[in-house]
Amino acid sequence: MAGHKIKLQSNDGDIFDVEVEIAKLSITIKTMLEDLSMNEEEIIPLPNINSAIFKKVIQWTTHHKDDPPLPPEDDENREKNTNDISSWDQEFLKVDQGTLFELILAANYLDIKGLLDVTCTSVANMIKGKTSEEIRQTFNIKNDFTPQEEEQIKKENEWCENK
Amino acid sequence: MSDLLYNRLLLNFINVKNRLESLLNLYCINEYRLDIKELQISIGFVSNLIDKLQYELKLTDNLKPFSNHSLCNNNWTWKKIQQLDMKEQCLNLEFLALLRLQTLATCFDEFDEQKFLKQTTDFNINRQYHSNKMMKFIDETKSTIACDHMHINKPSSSSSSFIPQYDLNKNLLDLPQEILLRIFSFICPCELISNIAPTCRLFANLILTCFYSHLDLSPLISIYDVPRLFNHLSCLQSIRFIDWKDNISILTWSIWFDILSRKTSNLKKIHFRNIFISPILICLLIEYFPHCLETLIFDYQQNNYCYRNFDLILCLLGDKNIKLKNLTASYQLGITNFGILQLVKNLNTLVELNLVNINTINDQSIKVLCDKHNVYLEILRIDGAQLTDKALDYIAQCHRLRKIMIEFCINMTGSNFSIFQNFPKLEELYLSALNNISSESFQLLFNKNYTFKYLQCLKLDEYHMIDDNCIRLIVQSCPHLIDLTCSLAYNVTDEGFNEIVIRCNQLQYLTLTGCNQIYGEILFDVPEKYLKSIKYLNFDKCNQIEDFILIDLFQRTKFILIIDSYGSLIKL
Repeated sequence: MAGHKIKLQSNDGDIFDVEVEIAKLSITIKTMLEDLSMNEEEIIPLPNINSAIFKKVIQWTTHHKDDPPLPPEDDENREKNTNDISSWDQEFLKVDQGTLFELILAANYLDIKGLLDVTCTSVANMIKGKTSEEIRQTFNIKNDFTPQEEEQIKKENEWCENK
Repeated sequence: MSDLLYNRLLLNFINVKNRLESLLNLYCINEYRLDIKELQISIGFVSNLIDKLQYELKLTDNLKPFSNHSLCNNNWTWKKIQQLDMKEQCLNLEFLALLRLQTLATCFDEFDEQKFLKQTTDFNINRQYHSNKMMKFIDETKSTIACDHMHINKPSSSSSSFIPQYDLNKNLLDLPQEILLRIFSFICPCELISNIAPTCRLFANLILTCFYSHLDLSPLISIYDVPRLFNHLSCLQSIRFIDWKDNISILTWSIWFDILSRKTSNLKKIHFRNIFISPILICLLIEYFPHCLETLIFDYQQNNYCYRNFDLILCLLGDKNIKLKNLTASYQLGITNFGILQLVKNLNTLVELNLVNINTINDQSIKVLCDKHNVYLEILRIDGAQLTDKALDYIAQCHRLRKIMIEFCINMTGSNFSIFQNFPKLEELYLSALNNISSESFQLLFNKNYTFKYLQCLKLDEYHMIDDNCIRLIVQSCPHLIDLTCSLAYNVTDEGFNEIVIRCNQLQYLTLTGCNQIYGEILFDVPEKYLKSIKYLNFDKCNQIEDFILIDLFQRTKFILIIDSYGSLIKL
């Protein structure tokens, strides 16, 4: 069945022809095709994803279609190495924050674990090594603590550091 | 305001008293036991506490606000307990700092443990090796929290050098909670609590209530703050009490457990390190966590707070109504076969039992254990001083065993050593003091016809009969060894040693204490050609290995820990 294509429609109406093997990297689409035995001629709507983001997703899945399957997640031993983003993925993820978050949401909706991991890792790397103030600046987060609470955090931080 | 918590405490103490009394009855129908007195004292103590609690409760409401009786040596009063019942305001930043302290303390502890490991090698290799094992053991059972200090001050890695601009339409805070938690799971807990939680309310709340599944609790925080902290940790699954010694009163334990059990329904694991254990404490555990607690670990206690009648504890834990599956009570004092039998007869499912250094355990206890739990048992670590070949026949029924450790097999002949081939998933095998095992028996264990596909750790201590031929058989039948120990194997020469070095290419830890016929010239090719993953080499008392060989090895690869023939760690 190699090269066999299905039609997927983004929420702004564009229709994409995608190879079945690539589309099936998304567990959500795989389930639709296999369990719900949808007709492969039918157009499958993806109500949560716009064309721009879907193009990125296809780009990623095409590049990663031959990756070995990820090992199942182990609750006991969740030691994650956060620096292992491949250089291709690093280039791929050089996008604005809005796109990055949209990609995360798309990966989550389509259930593509590899893409979800790499995008979340990328955000985690943006957070790491920063002070609270730097994190607020990086992500445009409003400081919603009261001045008193703020004072308390400061004091306790000093105390912790002297400990 | 009603006294809900207070009433619950009282009710639970009454249950505890009943539990202790029924054990006393059991004791009375058996032979006279020395620890019966201890049990009576505990019952007296609980009765006394119940009386005190009831007295406070009977005071009229008018008097209560003025009542200031201390109820235990942690100075809880009716009023203080009642205050705990009131709802905590939504978020108190204090808890961030409290958690932060606890988390940082763990980071430092782990760091110290590593240092300790290196220091001890200087004077006592066996103990060092043992503690190395213990650490690994502790690590296995350890929290989901793996702290990486490096992350904290590390400048942003290359992958994050590109920081995209934020977008006014789409903010990080708009992502659903499960995604935020996923992102946080990639960040070290120290950093989460000190830098990310104080960023904004949403993060602070999320990290406090949803992220902490494991907590290390040490006396850095006051006993009165602990219940308030527990009130925020609704997804706690595992907790380790560290270094509280005997400073926590029974009433305090009860208050802590009460809050914990109401806040989380999923506390699976409790670990006591350097804590005074008492029968009442165990009864409280059973009262509060019968439906969720699966794992209990009591660490080796070396100080004055050591509890000496651990048999009582085992008797209490042997309860049909609790879900306990994994128990570690190695090195505890006072354990007899009576306690072990009570435990294994009454528990429904035992998956892991660690009773190292409990040298009273006999064939009969092993029989009962294996008859009842043979379909569940996966990990068994025991002392074999009293065990004969029969015990091995009983153990042979437990096909799911993955890890087996039997120390001091001095009464075994090895005539049924082929039973170790009954465990298809065997990962770890430790046998020590195999003095009476002939080389014929040895070949029942390791031979050409069977491969231990999953065996990673093999330790054969004090087995003098091992020679080059045995080593060849081991290397052939265990192709995936990561950790190998053969101590005091006087007959092993360079031939056997070369076999290990050339063939065991996944080996990370190798200990050959006292193998004094090895010259070890092949080490010039380590790790460039052989033993590429090696991390630890112990050649204590291997007197023929020249120092310059080891020093040369060390200078080429500084990350390998090497113990020389004098038993000292090679350093710069």
